[in-house]
Amino acid sequence: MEDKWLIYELNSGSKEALCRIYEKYRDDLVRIAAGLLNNVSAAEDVVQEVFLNLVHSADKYKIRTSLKGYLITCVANRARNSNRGKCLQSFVCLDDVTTVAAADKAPDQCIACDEEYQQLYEAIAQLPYEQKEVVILHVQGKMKFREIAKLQSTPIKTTLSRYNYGLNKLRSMFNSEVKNEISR
Amino acid sequence: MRSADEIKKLVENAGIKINPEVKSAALNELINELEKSKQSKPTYRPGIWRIFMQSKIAKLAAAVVIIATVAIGLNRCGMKVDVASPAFANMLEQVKKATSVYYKTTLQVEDDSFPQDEVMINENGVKRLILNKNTVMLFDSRNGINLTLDSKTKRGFRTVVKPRPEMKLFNSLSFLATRHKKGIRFVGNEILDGTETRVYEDLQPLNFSCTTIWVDPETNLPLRVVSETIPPDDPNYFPVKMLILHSKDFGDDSDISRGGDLCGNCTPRYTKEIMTDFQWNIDLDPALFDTEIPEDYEKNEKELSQPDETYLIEALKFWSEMSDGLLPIDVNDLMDPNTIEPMFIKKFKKGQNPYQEYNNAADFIDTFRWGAIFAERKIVSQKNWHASKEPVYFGQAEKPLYWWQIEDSNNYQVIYGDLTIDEVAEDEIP
Repeated sequence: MEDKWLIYELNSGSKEALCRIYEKYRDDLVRIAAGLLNNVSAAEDVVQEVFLNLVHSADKYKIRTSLKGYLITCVANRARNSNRGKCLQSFVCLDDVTTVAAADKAPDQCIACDEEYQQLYEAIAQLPYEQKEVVILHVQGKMKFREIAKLQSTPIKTTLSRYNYGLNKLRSMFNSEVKNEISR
Repeated sequence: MRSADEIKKLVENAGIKINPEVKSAALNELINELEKSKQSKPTYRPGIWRIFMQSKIAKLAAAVVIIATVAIGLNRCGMKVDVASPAFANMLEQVKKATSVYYKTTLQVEDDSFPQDEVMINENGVKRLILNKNTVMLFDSRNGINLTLDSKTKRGFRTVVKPRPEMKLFNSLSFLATRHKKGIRFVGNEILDGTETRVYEDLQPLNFSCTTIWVDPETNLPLRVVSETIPPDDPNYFPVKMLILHSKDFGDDSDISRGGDLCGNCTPRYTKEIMTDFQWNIDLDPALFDTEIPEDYEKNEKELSQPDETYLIEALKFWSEMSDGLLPIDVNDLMDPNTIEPMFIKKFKKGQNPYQEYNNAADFIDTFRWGAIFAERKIVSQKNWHASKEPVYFGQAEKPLYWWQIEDSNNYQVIYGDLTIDEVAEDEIP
């Protein structure tokens, strides 16, 4: 109920409500976006766009749905659009792909402070986007498979398969990464 | 090597580098945007019900009311008043003085919409609910009597519950009885059926509710009420689990339903009740509030004092009958309507007399619910409760199914596979 109340207050221009919503959800949303985009700066931009949109259209927000779920869905949609833009770029110019790929691996672009998490994010980055999306949204965003299926416009069985494939691939990639580290 | 579960946990806990300066700058940008957006927006402040109206389901429900009550002309001034005016207190006083009320109500629970009911309440707070052409329910809370009369099958059900002597007409109107001055806002004026009404909104975050009340300024009495309950987003809350049986699921076209919550300490599901056609202080025939079963009706009476073990045993027997003798190892399963509802249909639907079969199922529903509520209140809520780790079949007298520590005692209560109950000392626990 607090969220409904916050939206109600935000709609009447309450700064406090905006700060509360921002503090409550911003970091989690950036984390989710970073997992989807493998880039913290891009993630921060996506989340900022989502919050700007919320500020401008809080009165259009459906109060029946969960605010967190709504924000995560917005982040997922924008991240997917951003990813599509990136794919389009790579389709247009192969040189740009190299640039983008190199930029993704630059040391200052490390997503996580912790080495283990950094390895994990690198493994996540290698997953096909749809699988990555299901894993991140379900595990980090706590979204139900039914909701993700709706978001991806796929039957729930497809979503579940993507999740299982994604998690298994992640497991094998992460384990082999760790093995390589040890052998080095 | 890490397992899939461990990888999942790793993903779950994976943190990222958060730059506090970027975060703070981004928030400042949002605050500036909010300020700009405030300046460009008109001063009119829409009521929260307008936000609710974004919902497709709410729109549908509202459409029904609009058709029934003729178009509503809007003339809200958009004025914000932090506390309700003395006029609201005056309205409460008028309701407290009322001797009777009649209104129509439409209820929506999640995506289920129920047919419109008619409600009458007399000055003693006895509520008469006309569900459809066949079914009438009476709630006499003051004397602790609930009565259901079915004119189609000529059957009456009289249930004795805990009396609440403090009940009167005002308490029966839950949308008013639970009001708290702090959450009430005067929203403005609105033309309703040609009458200019004062509109109040009452947001009660702690009760998860929002109520809008249209008040006739001449009589100071409500003309229309819309009450919504919105479940919290917090995952730590239990959603209400309701066991509802619909006659249509038994092949009957009466479009009636019966049921209730499966647990006692749950928070509400999304519900919306629209109350219209209010008539206050009218003459109501006392015979309409008679809580005795008529002579020509089949009499069914039972007492529901407090949920206890006996209801749980009945619920478990039913479960085992529907599961080839296997008893539920997880007692929480008794609170899962998605599992229970098909069991009710399987047990009672025979395809011969749908209306009768629905009623037979509905007769058992309270017993089952009380069993589930007992399990939730007395077993699951106890820290020290246990369940068998292996399958237990009905009749296995030597196998304990559940055992839990009795409140304020060192002893334990044990339910065995033959559904007998025993009290044992701590060192005798199976």
